[in-house]
Parts: sequence; C-alpha cells; structure tokens
Amino acid sequence: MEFFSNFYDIVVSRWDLIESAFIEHMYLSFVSIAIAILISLPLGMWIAKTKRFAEPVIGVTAVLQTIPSLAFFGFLVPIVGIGTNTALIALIIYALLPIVRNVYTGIIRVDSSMIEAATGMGLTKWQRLRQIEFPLAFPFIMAGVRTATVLTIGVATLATFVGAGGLGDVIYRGLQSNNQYLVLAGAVPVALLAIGFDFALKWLENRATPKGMQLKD
Amino acid sequence: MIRIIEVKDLWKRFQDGTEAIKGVSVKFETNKLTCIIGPSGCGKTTLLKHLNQLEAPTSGDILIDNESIFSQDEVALRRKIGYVIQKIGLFPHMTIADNISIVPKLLKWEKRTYQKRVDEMLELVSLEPDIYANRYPLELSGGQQQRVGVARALAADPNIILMDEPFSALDPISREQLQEHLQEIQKRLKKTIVFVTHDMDEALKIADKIVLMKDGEVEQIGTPDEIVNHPANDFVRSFIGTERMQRFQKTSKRDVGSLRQWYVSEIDVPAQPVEADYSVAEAVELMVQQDVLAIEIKEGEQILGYLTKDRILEALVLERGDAS
Ligand SMILES: Nc1ncnc2c1ncn2[C@@H]1O[C@H](COP(=O)(O)OP(=O)(O)O)[C@@H](O)[C@H]1O
Ligand SMILES: [Mg+2]
Repeated sequence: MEFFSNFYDIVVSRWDLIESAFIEHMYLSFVSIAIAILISLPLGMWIAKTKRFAEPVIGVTAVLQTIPSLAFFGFLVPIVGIGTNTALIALIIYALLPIVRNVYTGIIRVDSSMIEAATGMGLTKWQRLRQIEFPLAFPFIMAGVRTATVLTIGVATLATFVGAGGLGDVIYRGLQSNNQYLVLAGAVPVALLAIGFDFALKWLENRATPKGMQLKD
Repeated sequence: MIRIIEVKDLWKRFQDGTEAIKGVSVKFETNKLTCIIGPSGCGKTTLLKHLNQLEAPTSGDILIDNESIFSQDEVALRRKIGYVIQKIGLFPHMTIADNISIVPKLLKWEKRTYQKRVDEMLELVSLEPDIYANRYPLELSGGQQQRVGVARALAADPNIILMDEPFSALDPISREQLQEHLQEIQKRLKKTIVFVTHDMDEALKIADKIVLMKDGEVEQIGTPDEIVNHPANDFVRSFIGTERMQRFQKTSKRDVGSLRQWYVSEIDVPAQPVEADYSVAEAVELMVQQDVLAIEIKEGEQILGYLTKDRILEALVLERGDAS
C-alpha cells in the first residue's frame, strides 16, 4: 500500500514535468511515424516494382536497425547536433524498416492471378497498383505500421539524451536521483501510449479493410 | 466489324531458352468458338496470352481485323478483349458489382449505364442481381465465382473473349452447367471466343473449331466432326482416344428413335412431329434455335411418344455419363 501512495505522491508533485514530457513524447512519436510512413510507402512500392533494388534497400534498412539505438543517437549528435530534429531523424530511420519491409512483402505476395486478371483487363500499371495491389496489401502494410509505432514509442525514451525531452526525461531523472517511483512515473505512460496507439491503429485498420477481405480469416 | 484474329507464323522463345511456340499460324474465325487443346505444357496459354499482348512474340505477327495488334496501344487493346482465367481472378476486396464494372469504369461509362449493365450481366449468367450484386467473391461458390468471371469479361461488350481453362478448377456438375451456359450465351451474343482447354470432352461439346497443339506446334485444325472422323495423324488419334471417338460418333449419329426409354406419353405443350430416324443433333438444334418445346416421334402414322428439350438433354447427359 505504501508503494502506491508513494507513487501517487510523486505523480502529483511532479505532474507538470510528467505532463509536458508526455506531450513531447507523443509529438516525437507521432511526427516520426507520420514521416516514416510518407517515405516508406512509395519506397516500398518502388522496390516491389523494380525488384532490382529490393535487396539493397531492405538490406540497408535492416543494418540500420541493428545498430543499438543508444549508439545511433550518439552517432547523430556530431553530425546534426542535439535537439528535437536529431531525435526525429533517428526515430524515422528506426521506423522505416518494418514499414518498408511490410509494404514490399505485402505487394509482392499479391496473388499472381490477381495481377494477370488486372493486366489482362486493361488496367495500367498505376491503376493496378492503386486499385488492386495496394488494397490487397493493406492489412500487411498496417501490421508494419503498428510494429513501427510500438517500436518508436519505446525508442523515443532515448530522445532525452539528445535534449529532445519526452518521457525519457522523467525516467532519467528518476534514475539519477535513485527514485524508483519517478522511474515508474515515466515508464508507465510509455507503455500506456504504446498500447493506446496500437489499439487506435488496429481500430483504424479494421475500419479501412474492405469487408470482402475480412472474410478470409 | 469483322473481328477475325489471324496468327501468322508466331514464334516464342522465353528468356530461359524454352521454345514455347514454334511457328504457329491459325485463324480464329468471327463469331465462332475455337478451342485450343493439347497436353499440358504444349503452349496453349502462351499462345492465348499473345492475343492480348500479355506476351510478346519472338517473331511473327497477330492481326485483328487485318491490323497488327503490336502497332496498337496494349492497354486500349485489352479493354476491347474479354479475358477469363482458370484461377478466376475476382478481386476479393471488391463487391461482385464492382468486379463486373471494372472495365466499363475504365472506359468512362456513366454510372447509371454501368450499374444497369451489372444487372444485365448477372442475369445473363443466371445470378439474381438483388442477391449477388453487393456480395463479395469469397461469399460465393467456385461455380458462382466463375459465372461472375464470365460476366466480368462480357461487361464492356467486347467482340473477342479469351478464356484460359475457365472451368477446369470446378466440380464436374458446375463445369457441365457452365459449359451449357456458355453455349447459350454464345448463341445469343455471337462473340469470337478463343477457349483453351485440355479436356477433349469439353472441346467436342462446345467448340465450333478445334486447334490441336503439341510441343508448340499445331497438329490439326478442324471442326469437332473433322477431328474425330479424320484425325490428321497418330498423335491426334491417340489424343482423342478410340473410346471417345466411338462415343462421339454414336451421339452425333444417333436418331431420336434410340431414345425410346426417355419418351413421355403425354405433354401439355404443342409438339412438332418428326420421324423416328430423325437425328438427335437435329432435334436439339430445332428446339434451341426455333423454340420448339417438344417433338412428337412418329413411325408412319403411329405416334411412339414425345420428347421435351429437358428430357433429351437429360438423356444425353446421363447416357454419356454411363459410357465414360
Ligand atoms: N514465363 C515463362 N518462362 C519460361 N518458360 C515458360 C514461361 N511460361 C511458360 N513457359 C514454358 O512454355 C511452355 C508452354 O507453357 P504453357 O503455354 O503454359 O503451356 P500450356 O498452357 O499448354 O500448359 C512450357 O514448357 C512452359 O514451361
Ligand atoms: Mg495453360
């Protein structure tokens, strides 16, 4: 019981800090995911169409992903300095891989009979992509977006090390002052945020997936 | 418009070196249903895919109404040619109505026009528009899906329809139904149809002309009768099979007198009198083309019995089933 009341006291006394860190965290995650989607969609479709570049592009994004996130932030500081932009760049690059890969696989796994029927009926490449391949790949693409989102919200706790704020601030201060309640007051909202985003995206996905495809499973 | 398709000395070598088509020349005649038949891998699909430019030839030419298709815009060409594939290829994320109206929409038909067209097409393939128009493909059986596939190919009223083993993945009953349906549709609409199959029974049943292929070459071109009665060589003969040859000759030559066990003694529709040695093929022709509802079979002055269209068809289907 004492645990909860201590935790509660910390949350109340540090509310201003937690609140602004929460908003910063949401902002960082949201903006980087949005930009990552804007980059990955055309990139994924492009490598799915011109198969030649698929391996190198997926390879490069995969290698970037294997760099430990903390090292990656540190890496960027000498190049872009510190601040929000540095954090955004790192987060965007992190979010790219799952989305690009899922756009790519989503599109290349569309049944060849769909492609043949569409082409044979006289759809242009672009019409085929928009009317057939993209809608059929949509559930896959959304799965990639959800993975990227949860990942980004977690990694965004490191933004504090480049002075970009976020809930990492709260956790870091808790660690420095050896205050487990403050650490928790930073970590719990991160988890809630990740669950909330995932839930919202799942809802969006269900609404946007055509009824005919939901019958499949 | 003549809508005749002429393939001239067509050769196709794939990038891996496979020689799929080796000097094929063939005419697909206007308003006829031509079956391309042959063993698996003989180049039927490859030949068909050249007709709507899904494949490009190594050499040779294809003319539609005397104009080379390779000098035309491939997308525009394909919109003028209906295409039905074996794997059906309905788009699962679109309703039946949306699937059928794809090409009309590409051709910028007005909404009212293509909506009306969807209903007409569904009726043509015997699917109730009120029930099916707003369903999704996966809610339909395989046979129903392929009916929609046929409706979709006909939607923009193309003069030429290409079909690649459209019924081979269906169960035997659906297949039989769709074959009969296609024949009826063809009688009404008169299209130039190129129909790929590996099933000789299917070809003999529906084709006006048969193009028999082997290893990328044409072995024989002829009507079902010519192919069965005058096979060009041993390959054709063995491909048809002696058993089928006898069976086919039997049905095409038999007379209505031989269907005695199918006679009914009374009917409530007007009947046309025919002699007992009148051929079954002619009787069917009479009923289908001239809307004769039943025939009265006579021997001299004596009335032997009556046959309705349904009875005859039933007889043919069942007796053929026994024979095979
Ligand atoms: N894209 C391709 N690349 C290489 N070979 C092919 C290709 N498509 C078909 N073939 C080959 O060409 C031959 C004819 O194939 P196909 O036209 O599909 O035969 P069918 O439809 O009569 O079964 C086969 O040997 C097949 O393996
Ligand atoms: Mg084939």
